Amino acid sequence: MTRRDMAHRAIRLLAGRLAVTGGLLLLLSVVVFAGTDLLPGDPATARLGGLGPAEVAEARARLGLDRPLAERYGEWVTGLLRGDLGTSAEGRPVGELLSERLGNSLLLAGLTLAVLVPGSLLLGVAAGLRQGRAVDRAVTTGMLLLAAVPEFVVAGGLVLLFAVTLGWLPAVSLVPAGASPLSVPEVLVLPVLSLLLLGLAYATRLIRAATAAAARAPHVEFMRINGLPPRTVLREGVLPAVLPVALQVWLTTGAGLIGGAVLVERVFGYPGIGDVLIRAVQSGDLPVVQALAMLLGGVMLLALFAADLSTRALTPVLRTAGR
Amino acid sequence: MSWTRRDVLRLTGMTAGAVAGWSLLAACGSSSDGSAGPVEGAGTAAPRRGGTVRLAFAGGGAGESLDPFAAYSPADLVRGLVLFDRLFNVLDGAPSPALAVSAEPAADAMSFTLTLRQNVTWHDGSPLTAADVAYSLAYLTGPGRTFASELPAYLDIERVSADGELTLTVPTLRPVGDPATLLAGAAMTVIKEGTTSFSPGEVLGTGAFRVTAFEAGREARLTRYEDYWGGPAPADELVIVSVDEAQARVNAAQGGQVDYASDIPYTAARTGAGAAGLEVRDAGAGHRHGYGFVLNTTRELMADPRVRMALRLGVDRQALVDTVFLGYGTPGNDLFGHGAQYFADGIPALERDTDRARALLAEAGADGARLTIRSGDYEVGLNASTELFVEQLRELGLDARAQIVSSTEYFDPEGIAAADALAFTLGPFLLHVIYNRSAAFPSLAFEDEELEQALADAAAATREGERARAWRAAQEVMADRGNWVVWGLGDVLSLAREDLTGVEVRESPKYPYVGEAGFTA
Amino acid sequence: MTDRTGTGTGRPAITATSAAVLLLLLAMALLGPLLAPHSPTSPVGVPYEAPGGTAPLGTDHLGRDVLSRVLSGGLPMLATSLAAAVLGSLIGVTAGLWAALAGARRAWAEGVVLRPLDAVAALPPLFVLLLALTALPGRAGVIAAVAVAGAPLSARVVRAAAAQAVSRGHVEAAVARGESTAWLLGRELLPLVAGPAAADLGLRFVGAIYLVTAAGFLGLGVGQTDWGLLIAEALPGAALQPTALAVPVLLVAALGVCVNLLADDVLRRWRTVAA
Repeated sequence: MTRRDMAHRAIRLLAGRLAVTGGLLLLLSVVVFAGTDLLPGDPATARLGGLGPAEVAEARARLGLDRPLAERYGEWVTGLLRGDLGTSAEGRPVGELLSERLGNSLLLAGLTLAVLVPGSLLLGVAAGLRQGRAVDRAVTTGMLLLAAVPEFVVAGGLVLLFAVTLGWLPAVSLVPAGASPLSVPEVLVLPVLSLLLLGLAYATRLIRAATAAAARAPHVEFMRINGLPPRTVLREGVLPAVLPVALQVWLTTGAGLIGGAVLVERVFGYPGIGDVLIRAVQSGDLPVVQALAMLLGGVMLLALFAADLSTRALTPVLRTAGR
Repeated sequence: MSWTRRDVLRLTGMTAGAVAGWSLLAACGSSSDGSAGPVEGAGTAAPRRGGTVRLAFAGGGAGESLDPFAAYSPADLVRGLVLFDRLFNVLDGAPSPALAVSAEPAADAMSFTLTLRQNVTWHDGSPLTAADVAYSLAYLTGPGRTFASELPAYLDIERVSADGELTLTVPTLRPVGDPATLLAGAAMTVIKEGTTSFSPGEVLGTGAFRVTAFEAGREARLTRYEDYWGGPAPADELVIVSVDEAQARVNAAQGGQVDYASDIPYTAARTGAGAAGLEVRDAGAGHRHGYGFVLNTTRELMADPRVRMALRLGVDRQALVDTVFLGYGTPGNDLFGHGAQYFADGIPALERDTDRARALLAEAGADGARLTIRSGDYEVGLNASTELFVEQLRELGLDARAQIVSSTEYFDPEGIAAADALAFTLGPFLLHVIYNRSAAFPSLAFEDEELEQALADAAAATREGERARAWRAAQEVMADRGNWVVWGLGDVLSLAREDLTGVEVRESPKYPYVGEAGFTA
Repeated sequence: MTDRTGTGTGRPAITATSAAVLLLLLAMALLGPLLAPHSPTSPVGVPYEAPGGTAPLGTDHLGRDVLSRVLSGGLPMLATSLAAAVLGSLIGVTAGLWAALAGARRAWAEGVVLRPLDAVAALPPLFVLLLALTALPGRAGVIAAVAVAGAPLSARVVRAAAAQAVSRGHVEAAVARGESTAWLLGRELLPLVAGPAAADLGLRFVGAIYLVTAAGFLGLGVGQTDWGLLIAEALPGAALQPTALAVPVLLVAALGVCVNLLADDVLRRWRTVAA
């Protein structure tokens, strides 16, 4: 196979995956719009709940909510493509309402991921290589227990220990108006730690399993029998097989942390999207709900796309021997 | 007159969506380093000038606004009170002059003359004028505004005229004998003529502090306005932070992140202040919040006065006080409005009498009747009280069920209309606010000719004695056959630094006036 | 394939212990309401009473017996989680098998089934829970949320396992005989993917437990008392009455750990058999 063939194939693959992701985003938009339309309440009732049927009907007509679903969907999607996320029930642009809080949530997820990546790799590989021994038992048991306790209990326990009892870190993530959480890094520590423990349990388990499988693979066995030093076996034999799995795990975990941090954000009063999400869903503020669903779903789909590509890039077999 | 669901929120004086206090592991057990119990009447010493006071209140998330006519959460209200001024404040349950010095009704009570305070300036130095007040009244009723106010029902806002720089004539749509009370109860705030935006850089008030930074759902930074008509405030700066979870507010105070945590859970009072230099404060008996159930008389079962009386006889008030308030409160006499002027303190709380309650139920043919009580923890304790009340009603042989929903969902009008009773709590609002707003909401209203007459009399009365008599009559109707089961009055607690002083309760201790807050020397 | 790294002695013991604990929890959930010394709803003492006397585990924030509440709270928890997991798995397994089978005949058909599920899977489960509970309050909402959030993952797992199975001789033969799709799914494919499907069911079950707990924490009413609600209720007074928090947390954790371990074991056995 020539290099040009390979380049062509890579481009075709990329284009294909991109098309699939684009299609999924479109599909997601349909699911979200139709799904939220089934919810009781809409921006008119959210804002004018008790005003009586006449006023609500009038507001519906004014907001264009009485038009057919397909028509409203079309308008919403074209708005999305222009970067217009719509207007909340309160009358504020959704983009403005979310931008800063989404940034804060991304920051939290990003920082968590920055620690999660080396942490889970280290623990997962260490345990996977020593399957069944003390290190493995300790890591596996620890992660299993961690995964078994609800995250808000874990977060509460951290508050009790580090904020209330020891007084080392703030219990509440107060961020001065007009400032980024990065200007008060101490408020980020406990939320990041809570999310880290949550993500670590899942990521480490999967990386450990992949490592254990790789360590049993014939070619690794072969390297070991040939007397290659453990370090080389790890670098040449085990890690190449583990990394694609790990990358996939990290990307999806990272994307999941953005929307999955709701409970942790609530515990620390962190100014992320969690609070907006809960309030919007419960008060029937559909434009905000739809925008959030698209954003969170979109990020996850992009993460899956990236995971897919990088898996192919990292896996020698798939890269060269694709049919 | 129509009402949005936010009006109910407003009526209850609580935030849209301050959700049930989760909270974790209050104070860590030992109370050795804190005081033994809540202290009353603390924090009244004279403050020194200077310092930054940081105060935590329940917020309203991204929906918070500097617009005083869009203020619903305690954080919004506290901020509004120091940035802006009202025409009349509520002090100890009665109106007290603020930007207006008097509101004199005409002889026929169909109009009144409003006289404004002299030498009041906006934060840009311009003087307060009658035109500002006229603009504020018109703004309140502008298109798309959903602020809860009974003013449009009483005042002929289109015909308000400015007679001079500082006087206005306000015609009314029906007799208003006590305009000061009406305006105070409506929390009528004055904004500057021509105001259309409330962004931090543009907003102007007349209050003791002006905004330097604001972020919805997070924080507002306010600096002292030296030319305040009431004299400059002691603190250089106020930082009002929004912390929705009650236990998180406690943690923030214990960790030294804030100097004052408002409205803390009773469990925190039990465990003590939790850190040196802090104390749990009790707003006192005059500022308790009433907790109860509003019976929905549009439901067949609750339309029967015998059933309503049976429920009032069947409730175990002391048990509820001991459990829900952990004893920090007293049994209630089924009337909301404790602490307000004209409140009928003399009407005693009913003694529990399950035999009579059962007999009344039997007489009404309501043995084993099924009833649903709707609750949402928009204030901590409502769900708990509902669960206990349900158990107590089961003892009467009723098939009572609790319908616990989320705090935002709670106010869904259809859900409210379908429930037989609603868990409800009310601060010390003025009586006309409580009675008129309840009357406007069919599921909360109590239709009774005698009550309506008494309310009309109270509104139209221009003399003190008449008003007192009318309010007495209205409350006697409610005590005799009304639809309220106000089982208890709960203390409002806060956690504060011992040297913090000047946090002043006006309307409700859940959103005090903090313009005079400062530290003792 | 045998385990070369020497865990041979540990595994069966762990599996046996997990199974025993799970059975114990199951028995507790089923018999608990009968064994409860008091009513789970009516107060027996003052709030936050320490363990001992009439209430062996103390009383909760309303003065109710924690032990009785714990004993009565297992069944709703298990029933909801199980119903949700089974529903989610059922949808997922059907979709996954169908996709594998259809995909073997026509490549595009697989996408038609799996892509919409992928779109749903992109949404955070908690978000789906919030939406579902708004549309469908109570237990039904939780069940719907877990089913919707879990089905796409189940479908992927099952499809991956079934893709290999489809190419096996006897399945190919059945396809060639022109057997109906239902027959193929039920008789030929399902037994081949039963292992991963069972393990996946376990994971859905654990997921359901946490969503039920989260719903309690967020103050979203789900009706009856369950362990999740007990945790949420016990949080504010945890300093006054730690057992009321510790007991349900431990039970939920034990449930999660055991189901996880058993799911792992099922998967391992299936791999051994399949290999």
